[in-house]
Amino acid sequence: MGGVGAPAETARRWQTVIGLEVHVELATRSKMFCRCSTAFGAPPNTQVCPVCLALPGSLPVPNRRAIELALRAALALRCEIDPDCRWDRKNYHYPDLPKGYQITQYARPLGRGGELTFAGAGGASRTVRIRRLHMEEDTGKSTHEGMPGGATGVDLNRAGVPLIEIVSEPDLRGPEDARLYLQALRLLLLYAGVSDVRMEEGSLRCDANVSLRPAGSSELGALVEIKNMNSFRSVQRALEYEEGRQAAALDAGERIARETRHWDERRGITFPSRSKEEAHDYRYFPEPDLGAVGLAPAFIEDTRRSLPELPADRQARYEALGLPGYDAGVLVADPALAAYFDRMLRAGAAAREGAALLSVELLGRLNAAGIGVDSPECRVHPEQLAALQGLIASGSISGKIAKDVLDEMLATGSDPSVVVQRKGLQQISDQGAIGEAARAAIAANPQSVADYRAGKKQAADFLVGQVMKATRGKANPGLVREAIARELG
Amino acid sequence: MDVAPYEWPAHQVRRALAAGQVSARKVAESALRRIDEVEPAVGAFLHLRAREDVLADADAVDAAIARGATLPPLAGVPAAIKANMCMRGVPASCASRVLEGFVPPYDATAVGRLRAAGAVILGATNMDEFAMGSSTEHSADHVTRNPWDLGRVPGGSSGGAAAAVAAGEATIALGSDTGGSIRQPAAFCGTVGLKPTYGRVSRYGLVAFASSLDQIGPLTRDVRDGALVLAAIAGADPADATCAAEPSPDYEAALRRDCRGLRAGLPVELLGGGTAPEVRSSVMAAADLLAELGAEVDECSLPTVPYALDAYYVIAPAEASSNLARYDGVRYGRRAAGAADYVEMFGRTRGEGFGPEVRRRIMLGTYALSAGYYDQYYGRALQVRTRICQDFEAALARFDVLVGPTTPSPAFAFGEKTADPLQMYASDVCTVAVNLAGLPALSLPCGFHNGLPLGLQVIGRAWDEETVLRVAFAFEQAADLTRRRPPLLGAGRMGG
Amino acid sequence: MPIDEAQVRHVARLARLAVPDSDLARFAAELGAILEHVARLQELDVRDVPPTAAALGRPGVARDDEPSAGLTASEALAGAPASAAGMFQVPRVVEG
Repeated sequence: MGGVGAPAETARRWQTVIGLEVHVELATRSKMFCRCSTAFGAPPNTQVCPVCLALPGSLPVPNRRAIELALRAALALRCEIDPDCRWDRKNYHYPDLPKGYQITQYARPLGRGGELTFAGAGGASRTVRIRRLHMEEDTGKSTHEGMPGGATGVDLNRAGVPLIEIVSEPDLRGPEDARLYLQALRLLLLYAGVSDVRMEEGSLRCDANVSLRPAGSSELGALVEIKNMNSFRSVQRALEYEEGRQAAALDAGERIARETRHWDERRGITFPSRSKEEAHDYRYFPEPDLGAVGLAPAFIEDTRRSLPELPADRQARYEALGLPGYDAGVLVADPALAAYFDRMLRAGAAAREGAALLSVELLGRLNAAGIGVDSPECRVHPEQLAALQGLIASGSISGKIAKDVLDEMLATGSDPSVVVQRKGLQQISDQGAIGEAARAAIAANPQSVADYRAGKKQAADFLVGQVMKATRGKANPGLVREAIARELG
Repeated sequence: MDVAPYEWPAHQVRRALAAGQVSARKVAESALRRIDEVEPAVGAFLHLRAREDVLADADAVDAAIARGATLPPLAGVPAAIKANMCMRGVPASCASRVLEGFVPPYDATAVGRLRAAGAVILGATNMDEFAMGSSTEHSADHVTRNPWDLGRVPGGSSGGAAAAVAAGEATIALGSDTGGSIRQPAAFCGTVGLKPTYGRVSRYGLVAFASSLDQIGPLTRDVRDGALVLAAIAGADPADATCAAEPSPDYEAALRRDCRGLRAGLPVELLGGGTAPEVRSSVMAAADLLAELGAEVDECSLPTVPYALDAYYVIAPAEASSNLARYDGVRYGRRAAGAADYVEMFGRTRGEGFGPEVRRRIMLGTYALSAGYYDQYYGRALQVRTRICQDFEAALARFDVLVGPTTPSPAFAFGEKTADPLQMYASDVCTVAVNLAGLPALSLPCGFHNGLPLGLQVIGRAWDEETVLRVAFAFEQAADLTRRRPPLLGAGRMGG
Repeated sequence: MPIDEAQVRHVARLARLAVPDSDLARFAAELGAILEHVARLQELDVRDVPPTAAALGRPGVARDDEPSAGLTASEALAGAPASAAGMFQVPRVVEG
């Protein structure tokens, strides 16, 4: 069983330190510095112009919306905003970098000193500090597909798409926390309306810096940068692999080389970059084609005020309404679901019961049908689901009948009261009628009455069942139980 | 009319067209004939538009006149454009091999505005490669000769533009000025050259050399034409984030024949030890004339300006090293053949495509920005730039304009300064400080020495081109030098 | 000499400029002379002087997020030394 023991021992000996650099595409219609469309998936080089092709003489003009979205992100992450933040050039040569430099922010980023609190591994609350958040432009894409003789093709449709880079402090202590941080960050940016954060389309990308240090030490070990992690799962897997690799090397008395490694999803390993990397020297300097970003205090305040409720606040609000943390989390994790739920609350639904009706009954049916809660195919509106919950709460229908009503609502889009009425599903709560049915059941089942009187109390359940059967499930089960007990004396 | 239309200033072309004394076609034909005559000797152009295209543009002006349309301010005026400004369908090579075959799919804003003002564009003029040089000897194509003395350089980097205007090939021209590249060739060729305030004219479509210093401006026969062209090209442009928002005033209205109520400073640093005696005496005489015209003239000091050349030769190459990174053979221009991978392809494309001066400045700028040297060179130069700006601010708080020489000497001979880059750089000693501070400055003829023109530089406050033009116009009218033409103009002299 | 041949080679590589070995010495001499000249900048006392990257900077310039058509793929590729499959073609880039 040494195989299990060794990692635990290693874990005691080494502490993992992780920082993440996350690139997020901003949800703008046009590029950062020109008016070309940012739409995903167009044929190569059809969303280009003199500016993003870096034709001689072209000049950048910043996209106001991109700046606003970046500011929203920085505010959502509680960053300190630099109203005089500036643009810089990062100089390097690569075929998919048309200008031979990237316009970015180096010396004066938009935001510094933020933080993100999230539920880490095992549900424990974790806070990761944000070192900086800055704006920049994306590069183009290189590909070998369809190119003759092993040549490389360059598509510049993505060149100039607005990005923010969010650099965390090395505050993460394990691969699972890293994944959870990334997911929390994604959700925050989704809520703030900053980005559609689709990792599969590359609108959220993550590089990690990983180092191990002796437990109890406060110095950082040699940093290894991991690239090419394309899903939340691969971030965790890559970091787990890298943690193990470094620990094994350190255990063997080796030194960790400061390097960049790529994650190979298929083989499940990281490997060192083959490109002979000269020491990078990006020669940053102030971008002379652009003045300072110039954020007016009123603009910053307006943007701050326009931020919607963010995930942590929504979670807290739901918990205060009595939802268990897990249930609240399920709703918060899906902004469309949470928005649906909020409409139910506004329509008067009880929080706990409404949440259960939504996330168990409605969502179960929708998932089975492959329909989203915000899709037009979902014919049950939040107000209707709230009304259904109200019918249950008032005793008009039973929870069991409610399921049939919901099926009918989904099929027809009708209000629950209409369904109940049309199908005659109104619960029978009339004492006289129920008493009559109870007496009829007692009269028809003398053996059960005898059993009951002989002390077999469960014989009463049979009699209740008979009443429910006779009323086709519509009788209020509580009242039936009471009536049977009363009649049996 | 005794003189042929090619010799007229633009305002005269406009007047004659309005009066129906001449057609735009006649003016264009006159310019084209003049080009046929003198271009083999001068070599001002890198690319001439097809004759029929030029004439078609002129005919369009005549047709508009015939329709009774309002004459735009530069209607029918033959114009030349420095080959670093984009014109749809006209090669913009920047006199570089690396841009061989590049034909812009768009118009520079200033070029578009010149067209809209009615100018008839003749072609693209020669220059030092990527505007790096002071003699146009660094053109990858051919040298341009000074119309006043064919054995001498026209100055640079807008040497072709200045020579074309001086030789009568074009009535007006657009040049660009990063460290003196309009004013210095204007001085050498005896024309008027105006570098507007940084941000007055859109840089969109101007191939960048040093973005924080580059500015487009006119080269013209006289000051009034300078005002007309500036009015046509100035003003806000949504495509250039550094271009000023405020509307540009009516510059022609600012022209007056006196300098009453104006104070002119004479910075002692601009008349330093390297100044040729003939330049010094001509500038001193000009100062006396300004005083006669009513200006209050006094000496002043710009103590940091002697360091401007050093700051400039760090800042401009640093920006250039980045601006010229895009010439990699991927999207346009020339590509070195047979490279095994992209690193080799980039290196050889750039190594073979750029001439020696451009390579030198790219290396210099890369070094000045590189790790370990940034603070010592680039960072330091930016701090010195602040001090230079402060010097000008203080002086221009006391004076409305500053006057001095444009160049330390008249035009020099071919090959005189090409062997030593530092000597060539020193030709910009009087002009670079103005670019570092972003101020407007104009050069106009203030005298001749051995048949070579000398230039007076008038420097103004930021955004105050009006006062600069007013002082220059008053001086021009009193000195009566701009009507002098180079001997080349003698009819038929260069004809054979 | 402020810059030696090894530094010239390094800078040339950063700038992606192929410089033949036979030119290194000349470059070192020329660049050295210029650097010696601009070393005069060190004479000035610029403590506490802020840098000026642009003399008349305009802060806060931005445009609306309105897309507009740019160039077609064939216009974009018209000047390319080599293209295929709608893309700019370059010699192989070794990735990873």
